[in-house]
Amino acid sequence: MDQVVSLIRDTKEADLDTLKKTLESVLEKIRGNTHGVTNALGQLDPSKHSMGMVYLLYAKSQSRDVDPSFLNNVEFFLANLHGKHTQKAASRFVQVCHIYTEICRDNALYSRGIKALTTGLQRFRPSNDFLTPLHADVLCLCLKAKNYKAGFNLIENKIFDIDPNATGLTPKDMLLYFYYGGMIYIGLKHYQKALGFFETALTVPAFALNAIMVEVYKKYMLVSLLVHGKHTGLPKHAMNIVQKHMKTLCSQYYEFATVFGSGNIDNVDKVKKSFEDNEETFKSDNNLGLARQCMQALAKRNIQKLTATYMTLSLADIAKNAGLNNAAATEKVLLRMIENGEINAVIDQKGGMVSFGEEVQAFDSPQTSVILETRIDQSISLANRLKNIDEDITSSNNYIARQLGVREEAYSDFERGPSSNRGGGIRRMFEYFR
Amino acid sequence: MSSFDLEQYISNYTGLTKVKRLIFAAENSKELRSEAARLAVKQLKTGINTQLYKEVLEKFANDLNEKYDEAWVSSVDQEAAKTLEKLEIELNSFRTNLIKESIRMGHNELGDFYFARGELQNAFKSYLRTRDYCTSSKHIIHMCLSVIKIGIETGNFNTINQYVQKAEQTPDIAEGQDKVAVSKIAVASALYNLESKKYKTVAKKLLECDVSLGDEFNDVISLQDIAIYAGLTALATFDRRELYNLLDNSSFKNFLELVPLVRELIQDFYESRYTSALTGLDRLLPELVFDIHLRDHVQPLYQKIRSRSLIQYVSPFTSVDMNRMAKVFNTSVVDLEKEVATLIQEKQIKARIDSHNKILYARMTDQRNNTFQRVIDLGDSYIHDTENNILRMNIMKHKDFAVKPLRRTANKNQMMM
Amino acid sequence: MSSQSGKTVDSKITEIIESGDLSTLIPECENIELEYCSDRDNKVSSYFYASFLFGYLINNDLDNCRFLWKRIPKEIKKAEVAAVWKIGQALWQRDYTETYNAVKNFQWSQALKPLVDAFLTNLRNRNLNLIAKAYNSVSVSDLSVMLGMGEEEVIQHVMSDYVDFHYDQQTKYFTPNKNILKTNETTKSTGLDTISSLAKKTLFLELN
Repeated sequence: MDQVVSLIRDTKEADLDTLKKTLESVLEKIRGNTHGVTNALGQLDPSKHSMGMVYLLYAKSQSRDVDPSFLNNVEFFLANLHGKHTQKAASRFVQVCHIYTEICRDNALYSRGIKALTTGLQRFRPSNDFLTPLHADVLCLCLKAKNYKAGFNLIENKIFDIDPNATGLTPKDMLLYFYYGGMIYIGLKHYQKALGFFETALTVPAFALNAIMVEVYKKYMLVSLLVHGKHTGLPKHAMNIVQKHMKTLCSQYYEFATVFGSGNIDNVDKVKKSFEDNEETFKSDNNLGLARQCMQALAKRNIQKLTATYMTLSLADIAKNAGLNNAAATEKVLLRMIENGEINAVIDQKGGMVSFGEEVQAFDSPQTSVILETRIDQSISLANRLKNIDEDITSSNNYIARQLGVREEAYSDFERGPSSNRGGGIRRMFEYFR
Repeated sequence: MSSFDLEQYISNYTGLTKVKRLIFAAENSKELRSEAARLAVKQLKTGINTQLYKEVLEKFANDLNEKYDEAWVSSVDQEAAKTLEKLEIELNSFRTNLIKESIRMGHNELGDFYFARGELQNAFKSYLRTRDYCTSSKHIIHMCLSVIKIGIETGNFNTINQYVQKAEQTPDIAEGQDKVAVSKIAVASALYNLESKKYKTVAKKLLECDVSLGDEFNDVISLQDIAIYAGLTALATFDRRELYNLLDNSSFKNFLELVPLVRELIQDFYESRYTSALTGLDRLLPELVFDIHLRDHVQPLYQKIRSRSLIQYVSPFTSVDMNRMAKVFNTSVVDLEKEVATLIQEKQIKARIDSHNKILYARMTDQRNNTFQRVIDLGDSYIHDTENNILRMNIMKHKDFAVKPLRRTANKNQMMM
Repeated sequence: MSSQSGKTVDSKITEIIESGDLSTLIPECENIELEYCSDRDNKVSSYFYASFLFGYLINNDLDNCRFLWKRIPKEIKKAEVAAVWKIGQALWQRDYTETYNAVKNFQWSQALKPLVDAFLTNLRNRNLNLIAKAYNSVSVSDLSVMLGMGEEEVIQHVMSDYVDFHYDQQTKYFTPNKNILKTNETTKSTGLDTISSLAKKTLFLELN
């Protein structure tokens, strides 16, 4: 055991790969030695010995009875780890984190887990843009804990890139992140953003169907009813196999969505019936709340449609059109809609009349320029991002080689170095282009 | 209903269609049942279709004074058998002599015979056989028309269409030389389109007809029918310019003269005299109920005409008093409001209803607002799409990153909550 | 150890409340929760949770308030904490009568009183704006329900120069004054900031 510790201590940065191989080979041996491992952990410093500590932690996690000190070890590590070193041992590290998450989850130690993993995640990821398996773990704990705000803070940071080698990310992790993330957005009523997340989940490359994707699709359909009033179909970049089979697996949702979206004002009863027919399915999928919100949205939608046809309308008539019971209930619904900015209406209590304005937004206040400016800024930063990616690609070896029509063999000659004459020529060519 | 003169009406028709129409009238009207049946029998007795005679007598036994005339039936049947034999022998001899024209005529006569007997399938076969012996476009047209008539009687509209197209390819029709034939083909085409609910095409086709058709097509349709069908379908589908052309069309004027009611109807509508137009429609209704072709289309056509009237009424104004409008259209304000609301939802009227004061206000689009909204939406979708694309691009850099079919591993349980 | 950090937490909260600037209350509470709350070693008091709940209520963030309530350990869900949630529940249903009652009918501790006041002020302002936006004629009874005042009081408040609703004696209905909405809009920043951001944008368009 001591050998291992000293080996870890003495390894320099350049030799981390060899260290990794060595540690892999001794893993079996140190597994049984829990006491020794704990001791060893106490002697090491995460900021310098991340690689080694990962393996020690892994060894500890595999033992039969995991004691509370394990949690402390992990948390200490997460708070101080060295990003690049840990990335080299990504898969083992991720396994440790998963086990840590499980323990937190099973013992209701949510806040602890959330905090520790979030800290670790921030150190572990190559940059803010990158997704790691820890993201999904954090969200899982947030949902269990019902701490939606913490999850929200995490997912507001947009993901642009992945690096499976450096982060140990698997497609399942990605699916889980966007699935959980969508659920958090739903909890906080940011339906548009939830829709975006589910869309991304559905476009993850897939050559086989996955249960997570199916659940995503169910929620996706219900949320698109909330956002668009109808089902917008699978995102066009979803893989073929998804397109083929989704419909059959989620047929009740599909049926409900179709009835819901077949839109005119007098199909409220049909939708109600469809809802009741499928209520059991919704319930067992944990989507009952979402489905109920769709029903509420139905009344709202019908009222919104009225603004296109009427300038003024009595509360009683609105109630009839929207399938609500009476004028008082309608007034309450209207008030909520006005409060949420979902409708431009003014109520005349005395006459029992409502006047509808044309558009919800007037675009005539200072708010407007703020709205426009934020979007302009976002667009500009995205355009810059694209420019950078473009530059990266155009200056990459692969691209230049392809451009010149240089064949693979010639390129591999170049790899061998300036010794060969041909290599020299091509190297000069590359230099020229740089 | 009682003002409907059955004899007058039916005198416009001849042949099988006369009987069919009488049967239809008898089936659909209690008052006219016995008279129609009687007339039907009378007509049948002038022909040789004993089968239909039997059917009619059976069906309307209670309404008829006449008893089954066994003697007449058997004598007609006997004659018919003899005629059939004769025709077939003639045909055979023509065939052996290989005289094209005679063979063609022989088949035609056989076809006509079968038609008169009510054996429509056999008639169809016979007519078809003339195809190989047609040597002029007149022959082809004759064949097409014969087949078309069968199609009309059997309700086989695909056949009608097929042979209409065939006929339209012949030079006689294409160049419009033979006005009568052109009109007949146009009518056939119109009937096909009527069945397919393509009302505008019906109107257009019927406008190709010429009054010179006279009563030559009375075994299918009367000139009055042409006027009525054309008028109604035009009202339901034409815009103002097209209606004006219709009224101005010198050849079609002749048709309109035959049914002044229709002419007045179109003029009223064109000149925005909606109330009288709508009353005119009501007055026309009783006749139309008996028309075997138009019957199923009366409701949709009337609905379309009414909608068009509403839309046209509203179009010149920025605001309309719905109380006044309701009077013009002979309905209550509440019902009118519902009708108008439906039209607005169908985007046929651009307006909004002030339900409190019962006024309809034309709706101007707010360009400025639209532009802002579009800009923001565009910005949002650009941002959304770009972010997604960047992520997807980066995912694709790792070719192996995809959900793969499961291999049988033990631990797939820690997935969802 | 636990009571000590508990005291630190409480004092931090008190500090924020007493400063009068409640904008940092929620972020602080969220951090503290993650820092200190895991069921086994719960080191925070009901005072903390009550303030946390109030923080969300003052911002009218009912979703997060609801989730927080679900997270709160069972033993804490009583007395003052439960009373705060009662307000939240009523507000969730938009039952304003209940909301104001829930505030009125409880003996709030001295420390929480500033939060209670902040909540009431915010709620009344929000509702006043909502009424001005949503109605062009509204009854006295509805006004009094939404503003949590008796009818006499509400009439006085609403007729005051600042608010200035028009009262029709005969029909007993109020016509709200839409002008109060305008003063609440955010004013745009002007000056160098604007110029620099405009310059950046123009530059971007030129270069691309």
